[in-house]
Amino acid sequence: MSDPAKSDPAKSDSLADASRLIKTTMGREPLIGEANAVAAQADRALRHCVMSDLCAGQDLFHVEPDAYGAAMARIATRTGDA
Amino acid sequence: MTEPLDWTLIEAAAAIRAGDISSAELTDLAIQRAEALQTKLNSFIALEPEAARSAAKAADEALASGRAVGPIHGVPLSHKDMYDRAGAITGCGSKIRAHEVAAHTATVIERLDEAGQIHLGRLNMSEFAMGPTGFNAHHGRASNPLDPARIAGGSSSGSGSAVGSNTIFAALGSDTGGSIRLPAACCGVVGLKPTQGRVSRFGAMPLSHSLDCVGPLARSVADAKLITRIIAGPDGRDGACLDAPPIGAEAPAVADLTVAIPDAGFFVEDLAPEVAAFLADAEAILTGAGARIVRPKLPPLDDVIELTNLIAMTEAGAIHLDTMRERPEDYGEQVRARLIQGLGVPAPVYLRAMQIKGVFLRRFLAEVLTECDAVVTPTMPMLPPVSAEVEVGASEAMTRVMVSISKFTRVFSFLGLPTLAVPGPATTGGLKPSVQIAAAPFREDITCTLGEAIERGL
Repeated sequence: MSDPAKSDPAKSDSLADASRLIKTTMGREPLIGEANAVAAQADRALRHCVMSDLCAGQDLFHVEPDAYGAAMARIATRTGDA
Repeated sequence: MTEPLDWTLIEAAAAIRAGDISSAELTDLAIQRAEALQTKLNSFIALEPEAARSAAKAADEALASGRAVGPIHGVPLSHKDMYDRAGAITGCGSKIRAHEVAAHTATVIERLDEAGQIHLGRLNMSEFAMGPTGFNAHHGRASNPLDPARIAGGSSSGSGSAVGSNTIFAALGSDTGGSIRLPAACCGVVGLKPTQGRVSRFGAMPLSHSLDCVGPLARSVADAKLITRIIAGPDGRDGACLDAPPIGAEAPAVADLTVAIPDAGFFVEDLAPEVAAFLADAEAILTGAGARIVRPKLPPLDDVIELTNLIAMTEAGAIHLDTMRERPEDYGEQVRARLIQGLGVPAPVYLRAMQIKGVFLRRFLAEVLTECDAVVTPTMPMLPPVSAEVEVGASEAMTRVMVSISKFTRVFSFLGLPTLAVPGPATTGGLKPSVQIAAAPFREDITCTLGEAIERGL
């Protein structure tokens, strides 16, 4: 059976990138499944986070990353709307 | 008269208080069942019978002396192997921390101790609470008491297995993307994921600081509500634990509630027939009880499945960074491949996911939970799978399998809403489908009111 990464140059590149990232960050060679998992995660992050429209087009320029916690705290203390 | 081990938690506590059974007798029965089933179900990582018998004897003496006792006085419970008790091991279902002795006691354990629990031992779980199947490379999987060939669900697999086999009367699990509700659904019991921030996580193993919730698996909705009321409330040792109003004893009547049940789209695509049938039955029961049923117009939810995973795995990756560098071979293959996923998420993308989490909560509250009091959906699209079918290791099928099992639960994890999993009647081979009921933040009372109505209607 042929290796799909060898027949798909883009996939081969992303696996090589993932392997380099693991070596740089972890100081060791990738173990079984790791390079694949990192490459696949990078792809999903682009498709489902960077490209997401869950905020229905809202400009996120002023949204702080802890907006969720602040909203829940307001609801908990019933001092205002979420 | 049912056998003592078949009582609910509330019935067992009442029987002990009334002198109908002693804690020592009940604890002994639970130990005997745990020992008898361990080879078959593997629910426990560590069973501690002598300590439990000693605690039960002390509980009986306290009752006999007329001392005030808590609401679960003398009743045997056990919890997922991730809650610290000072001086005891918290292994997190792992090899990495298998001998780690805790310096402090988790807030939830302190509160259950004060309420009178008898601790029977540490329950099996997915390694570091990672994985909806319940597989564990070091301890073996806990099996499903309804059909041992099938998964018990994860990550609180031992909690589901031990409660579902009527060995213990309730157990703590933890829920980051579904880890209370999925084993509850697989094992035919009730599971309650409280609102994000409702219950302290001090002394609980962290997986994802933004998503982790502590809550119970139990035999009835009333039992799950009781445990949650015991463990909930502000705690200065967990900065994210909020000072919210307590869970109301006087919840709204079913007839005063509007319930959204989807009949198309994300939550009803590709359902197993048994699951679809139970969702329809739940709707009929709630309608019969006077609830107004509406069809929700839900925002697109496919991205939420991945965003939950992205946040969880990035945060987990930070928690495990040192040991993933130094002892990678001491992790199970699948857990290691999942923990490293966060390297594929640049920091700005993680922070974008957190921005979306806040905005999407406001959107969901404004667009959905202004039109209804609760949303009822299946907990899982299928009945619990046969173990061999979802044992995929670190292969490319890994993510597909995780998503197929946990896609419905992840939605309400991302939103942080209180969500209750309620089992249906036994169907094919004794397996039980499950629905989950989500409500606005801190409205666990609404989820429980509706859950109890479904229980009564079955």
